[in-house]
Amino acid sequence: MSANAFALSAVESPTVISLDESIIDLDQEQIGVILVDHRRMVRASMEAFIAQQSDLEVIGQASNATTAIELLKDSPVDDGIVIVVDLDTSDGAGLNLVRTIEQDFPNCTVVGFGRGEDVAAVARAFYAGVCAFVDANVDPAELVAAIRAAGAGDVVVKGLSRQALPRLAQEIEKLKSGGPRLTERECQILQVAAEGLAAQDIAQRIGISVRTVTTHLSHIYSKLGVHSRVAAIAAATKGGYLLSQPTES
Amino acid sequence: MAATGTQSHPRVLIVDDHPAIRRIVRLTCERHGMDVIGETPAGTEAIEMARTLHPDVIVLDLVLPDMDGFTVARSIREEDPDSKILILSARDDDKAVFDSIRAGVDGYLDKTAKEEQISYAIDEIIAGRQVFSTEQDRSAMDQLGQFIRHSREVADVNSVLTDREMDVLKLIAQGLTTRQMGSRLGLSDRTIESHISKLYRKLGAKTRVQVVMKAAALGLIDIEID
Repeated sequence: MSANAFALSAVESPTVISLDESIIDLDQEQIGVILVDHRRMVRASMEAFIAQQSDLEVIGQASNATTAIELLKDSPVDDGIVIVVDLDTSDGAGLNLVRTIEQDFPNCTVVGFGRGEDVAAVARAFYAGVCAFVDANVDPAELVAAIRAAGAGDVVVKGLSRQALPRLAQEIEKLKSGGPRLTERECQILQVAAEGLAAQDIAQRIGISVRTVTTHLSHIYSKLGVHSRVAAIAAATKGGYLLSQPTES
Repeated sequence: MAATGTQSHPRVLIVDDHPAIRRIVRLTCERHGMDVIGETPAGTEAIEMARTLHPDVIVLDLVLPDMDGFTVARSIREEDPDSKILILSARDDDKAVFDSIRAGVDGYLDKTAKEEQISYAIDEIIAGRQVFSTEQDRSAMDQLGQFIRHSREVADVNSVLTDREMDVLKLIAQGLTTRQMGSRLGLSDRTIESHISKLYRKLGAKTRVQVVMKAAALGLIDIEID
């Protein structure tokens, strides 16, 4: 059994391919691309295809979210970088990475790829901040087109069937008016709660009062429409608000 | 019911407010061995006829006197998800095609379509296939991107506006003065003013008119234009 190398936790041997310094050459209007997928072969084939495009350049690859964030932090310029992220992670790590990028690297854009049939997941990805969604089964040319479009600030969907369009539109509409939206603090509290800590311990860990923790928890429950901590953690994990595994190290 | 071996004629319902168009579609259908089992200029009647007559295909216009064709298509499909609908409309803009696909229709022709195109489309749809051009599919996907972008903007604004600000926003749209809003909501003028200035900031507006326009564009409020 293989541990999901994509999870933020338990990074054994992160695959980092160092940043190519040539991206600093601003004379060329090139889009710098970072590939995030736990499968080396997937990254390699995407890179091979992108390498054929004169306007695109793969400036980094990451096997997990932590490495991806490090790459972004180390990047001399983050403006205009397009990050291609595998969203098809059962633990919601892909979606989490999208949120982190959206929050901490607002000048970057994210192209997500995964299974287009799961329109609810596609809709969540857009609200998490992806600019483009590409079904993993499309021709690589579509991925390249999506990278270009996202780089130009367009919102695009590639590889979705016409039959799936009404369902996706419906999901988008649903989330527009009231999908659960947890604040950063709420996510943090839930993350700690997922480790099994009591309210008092959560309070101590984060440095806020117990009362505040319980208030946050009750807000979280009502936002997610659940009544217990376990259900909240399950719902938040599914929605990509949490990492699946509590950090142990 | 048709017995084995007997050729059953496809049964068509025509919905269009122009008698001339209905006539053309009827003649087209009849020339191609189809039965026109009903005709109506109105949406409400179309929904009723679809329910009672169970046509094999419904040829539907988008602009009807009582309601738009998207609503008609959606209602019909809610009642019977297997009903088949071909849009035949004078509109040929991307938005109309997108909204039609969203409503779950099976094909879209604009009114420049030739007779053979109409009969071909009906045959295809009855055979269980959808009839859209590559161009229509492409434009629908473009529209989908814009739809997602717009929905996200609305959600962003929605998530930052408080319930009280929404209340104030709705009253601004009704044209109430600060004093009127205050008495309606039981708040002081000063409080209302501060809600309004927050609305200005959050919506990126400088005047009440801009606030209303922006909010209406985002679908946060409905404004009635007389």
